[in-house]
Amino acid sequence: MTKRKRQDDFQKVKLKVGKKKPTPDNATNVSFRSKGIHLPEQLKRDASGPTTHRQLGIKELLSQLHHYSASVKQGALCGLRELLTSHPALVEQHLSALLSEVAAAFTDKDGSVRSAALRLLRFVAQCVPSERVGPFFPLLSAHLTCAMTHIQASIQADAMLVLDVLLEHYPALLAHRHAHLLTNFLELISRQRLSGGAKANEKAGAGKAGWALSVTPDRGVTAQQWRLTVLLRLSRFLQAVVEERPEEESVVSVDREGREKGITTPLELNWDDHPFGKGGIQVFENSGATPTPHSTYRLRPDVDKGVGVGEELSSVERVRGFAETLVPLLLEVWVETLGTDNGHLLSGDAMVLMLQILTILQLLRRLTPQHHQQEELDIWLRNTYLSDFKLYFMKNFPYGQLDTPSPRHKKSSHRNRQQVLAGAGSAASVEPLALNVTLCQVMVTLSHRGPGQPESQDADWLGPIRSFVRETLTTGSRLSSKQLGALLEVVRRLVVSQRGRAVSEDLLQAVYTQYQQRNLTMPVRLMLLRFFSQLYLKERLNRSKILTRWLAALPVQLVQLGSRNPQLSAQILQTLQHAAAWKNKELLNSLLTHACSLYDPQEGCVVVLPVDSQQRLVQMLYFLPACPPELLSCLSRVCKHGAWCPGLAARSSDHRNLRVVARLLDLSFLPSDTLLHFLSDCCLSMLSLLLQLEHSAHKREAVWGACLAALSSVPRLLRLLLQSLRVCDMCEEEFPQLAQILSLLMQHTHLRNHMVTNASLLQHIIQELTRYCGGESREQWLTDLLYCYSVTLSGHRGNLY
Amino acid sequence: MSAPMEVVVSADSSGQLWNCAVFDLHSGTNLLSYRGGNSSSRSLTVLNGEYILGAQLGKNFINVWEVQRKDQLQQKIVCPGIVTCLTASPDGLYVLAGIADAIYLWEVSTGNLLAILNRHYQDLTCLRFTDDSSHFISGAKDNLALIWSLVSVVQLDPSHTPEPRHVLSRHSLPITDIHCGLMGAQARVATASLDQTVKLWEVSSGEMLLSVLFDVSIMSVTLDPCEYFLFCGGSDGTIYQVSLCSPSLSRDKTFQSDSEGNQVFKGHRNLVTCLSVSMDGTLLLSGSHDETVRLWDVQSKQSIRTINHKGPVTNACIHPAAPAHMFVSESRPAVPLPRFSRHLNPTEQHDSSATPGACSVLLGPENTKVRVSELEEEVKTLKKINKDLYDFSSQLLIKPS
Repeated sequence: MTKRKRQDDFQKVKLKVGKKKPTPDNATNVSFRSKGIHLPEQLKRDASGPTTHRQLGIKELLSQLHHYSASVKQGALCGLRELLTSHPALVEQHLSALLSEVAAAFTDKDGSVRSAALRLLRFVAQCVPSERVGPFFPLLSAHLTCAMTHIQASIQADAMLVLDVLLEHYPALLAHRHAHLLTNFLELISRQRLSGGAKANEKAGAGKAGWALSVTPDRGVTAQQWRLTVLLRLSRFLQAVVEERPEEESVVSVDREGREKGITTPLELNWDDHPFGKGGIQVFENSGATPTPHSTYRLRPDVDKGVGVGEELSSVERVRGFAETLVPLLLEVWVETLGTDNGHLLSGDAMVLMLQILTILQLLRRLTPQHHQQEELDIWLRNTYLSDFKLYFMKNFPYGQLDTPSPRHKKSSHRNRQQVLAGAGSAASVEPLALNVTLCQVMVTLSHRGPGQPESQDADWLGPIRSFVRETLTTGSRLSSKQLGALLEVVRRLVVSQRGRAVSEDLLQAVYTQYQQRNLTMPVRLMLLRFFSQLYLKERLNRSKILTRWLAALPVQLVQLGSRNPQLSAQILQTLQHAAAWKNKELLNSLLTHACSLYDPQEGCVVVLPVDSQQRLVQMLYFLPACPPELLSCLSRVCKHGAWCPGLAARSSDHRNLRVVARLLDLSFLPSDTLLHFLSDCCLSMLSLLLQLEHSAHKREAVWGACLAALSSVPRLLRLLLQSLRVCDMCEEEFPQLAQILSLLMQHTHLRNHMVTNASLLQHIIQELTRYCGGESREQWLTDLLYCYSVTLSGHRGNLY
Repeated sequence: MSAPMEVVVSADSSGQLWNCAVFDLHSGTNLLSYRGGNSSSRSLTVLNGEYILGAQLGKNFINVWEVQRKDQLQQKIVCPGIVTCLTASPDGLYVLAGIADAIYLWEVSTGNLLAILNRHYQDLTCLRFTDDSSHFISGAKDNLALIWSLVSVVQLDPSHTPEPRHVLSRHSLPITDIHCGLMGAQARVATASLDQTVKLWEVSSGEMLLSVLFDVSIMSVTLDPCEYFLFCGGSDGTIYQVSLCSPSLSRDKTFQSDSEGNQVFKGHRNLVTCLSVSMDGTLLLSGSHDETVRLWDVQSKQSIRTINHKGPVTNACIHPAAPAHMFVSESRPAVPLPRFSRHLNPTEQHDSSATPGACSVLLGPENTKVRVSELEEEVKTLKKINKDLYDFSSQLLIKPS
């Protein structure tokens, strides 16, 4: 036994082929795999975020901008752009650092760095809205100012490009900082003379405030081109400032329509909705304590204008001060540009420059903080500079293009110029027409307004302008709508300032020929129409023959237009309605002659136009001096048409229209046959309307009352009404309605006697009705009708006996 | 009779019993009546609390009564044409009349015709002053209502034609009535028109605030003094009440709930020509072509009293405070009413009523001498008065010290 046990202790392991070796107890399991932990790399990625292809994060790139080497800086800027393009979210995170670094690069000595910075700025501006840039804008504009006033010409030139970008994306922000920027503009093309005493006095005419044009010979471009670059930006900058002005009334005549609507949006209410309405009306938002901000009364100037507004142009005096420095400089530039060419022919470059000068002058006048101060500034400009303007601008007035073959061989210089005008768009090539029109606009604002002044003093320079405008309008076939708008503005000023004179009549004639052209586009035609209607409605030129002719032709145009262009028709109708209300004789006559076609029941305007215009047309009837029978018959047929076409009559406006017509007839009451026919039709249509107005008890009452009054006052009317009810012409759906009308009429006590006198007619109608009903199951309405009929007649007999 | 009381002044177009009469607002008793002729619509006005002016219907003159002398007619002001509407400024200095399509402005103290305004294209229908007499509003049949500033109209420069401050041109049919609220230049104006709308405007900006479209033409309009409600008299005899405040602001909730859909005053059988609200805003007065003047309670919209007339009522209005000496028969007006001139420039016309000063210059050397001596004397007395005034005031100033 013991022997066995010992054997058990040391048992021999038998190894056999094909069997696995059993794993020993102390074997180490090596099946696991290990991985390294790289902590430093993880930390690095978290901190720097995405990188460029050169493995540089935004922090490194920004810090590289402080490197002394230009190429490193440029590389960093390019890298930033690459990084931000791929990860736009970074822009928002690092906006502050980014903008301050980029802005600092505006004044970098190296050109390539500056252009890289510009490209980066353009990219940033594209993706950041202006309200987010607002907090950093003082910094940006400080750097911009720095660049603009830099001693190096090339940095100055690049500052213009920066300005372009900012103007494009943040015009409002830039406009608020005009206090600093405007003087910078002046310094770019001129320099201030430091109390030069005698010297300043010598050229008192040119540099009144001690500014003179400067010439820097070492600049890459010619002085003329450089000035053009600056003036282009100046004009765009002023444009931005002008657009920032509060409640500025647009000068272009097209936009004036907006004024008509008013600034506050009035509440429009319908009485039907009101009493059952969804709550009351809140008319007085300030509960009357303060008037609305649009009041024209100015007890004291607005003090709390907001902090961002600069002080420079906040008053007329400031604007005037600015103009005092700028205008002589502009005149000097003008003279220098003109000096090379003699006569009225100009090269293309000169023309672009001159156009910019005029545009700036135009904007200058609109810089006034309030609209009513514009007049004040105009008068000041006239008193100060009219003689200069006459001398320089008007000397060779209608300017033309110098007819030189286009300089192909100077392609390089051409490209250079293109660079100067980068972003200038269409300004690169200017038509002489645009120049001349702008000149007219500038000069006309200086013309004297107000009576009591002999107009002859302006005649010497207004004459050429007038003839130019006239010729352009009569011959110029290819006027763009913008140019036409400008020309119309000029004409308006001329006509208004010298009203009632033969010369202005000629101008109007020219516009009228333009108006009569057939192939005008819709906006142009609308613009011309508005021009005339404004002259008539706003300026109240009612003695002009052309205007009268235009007015008298309007009804014909309205007829011809038909339903083709409702917008144009609405504009015409608006003018017509005013003119009719103002008792314009020619118009009323013309309206009367064309009334039949206007109110034609088939294709007249009263049928085809939209509801608003229809209403105007009917309201115009009120002012017609006479009502010829043909017109009445037209109207009656319109009514009939409306009556048997439920869709039209159901509209409440039509119902109102009918009422207007009915009242009109009360006014001019002539018991003629046509009139009676018309009235009977009216009544019929109103009665049928009555049945459709189930929901509004009040309206029903009103309509019923009107019908009743008409029918009971003129007995013949009822007979006509009954006669016009031809049962055989109707379709079956209309029978119940007719029966209802008849029973209504019979039930009324006042009318009953009249009904009885027409008993035979009534009987005939009812017989017809019963016959056409086909004798099938008697319907409820027919029973009711017959009952009413019998009651009426029996009651009558009862009275008799 | 010392306490100020509200009175009703009304007139009808028949003029059988009287031209116009004064009623007590609360009892409806006839206090006074003025005879002679009849008055046209929107032309009865009280001038300075001393005179009643009313344009004769269809004739070219204005009837004038002194308020305390009832019955007989005192004076007729002959005008260049038929007067369609008439109003006197609240301060009693100016009288405005609409004659055909022109507005005539007279100065009451001298009777001079200060201006003729030809801006309307058709006959005038209504003229109203603001309560501070700084502006006036004119409405006419050419669909226009114009807001004029009085100072810009009363100017001596003849070359300058006065322009209205604002043109309200959004009505599409003739204007029938205008009401001007309180608060001077910041007032709100309500205009009614045949185009079935009533529009509310702001005098200061000329902007439209509200337009309400009705089913009938509106012939008369008024606001209560608080401008809580707009009352519009329709051509069918119904008076509509438009609430201008949101009901949530109203304190009286219970009334709001049961008045739902009950915003009309029914009772007149013909078109309502004139409306007026009492000073406390509780009573509404309306005159109509059905020959009655009715007094309504605004809250409950019931007709309290009916005053029958003999013809279509042309004018009816509540005067907030009866003129002090209306019922004192022996009092006299402080200033006699001068003759109103019919021509614009009184110095240029010699044939008719020129001022006495202008006449005497033309009468020859003797008269001028007399005149010169008179003037010298006047200067002397004025100097004396000045000196006395100076002495008196200097004494007064020195004494207390």
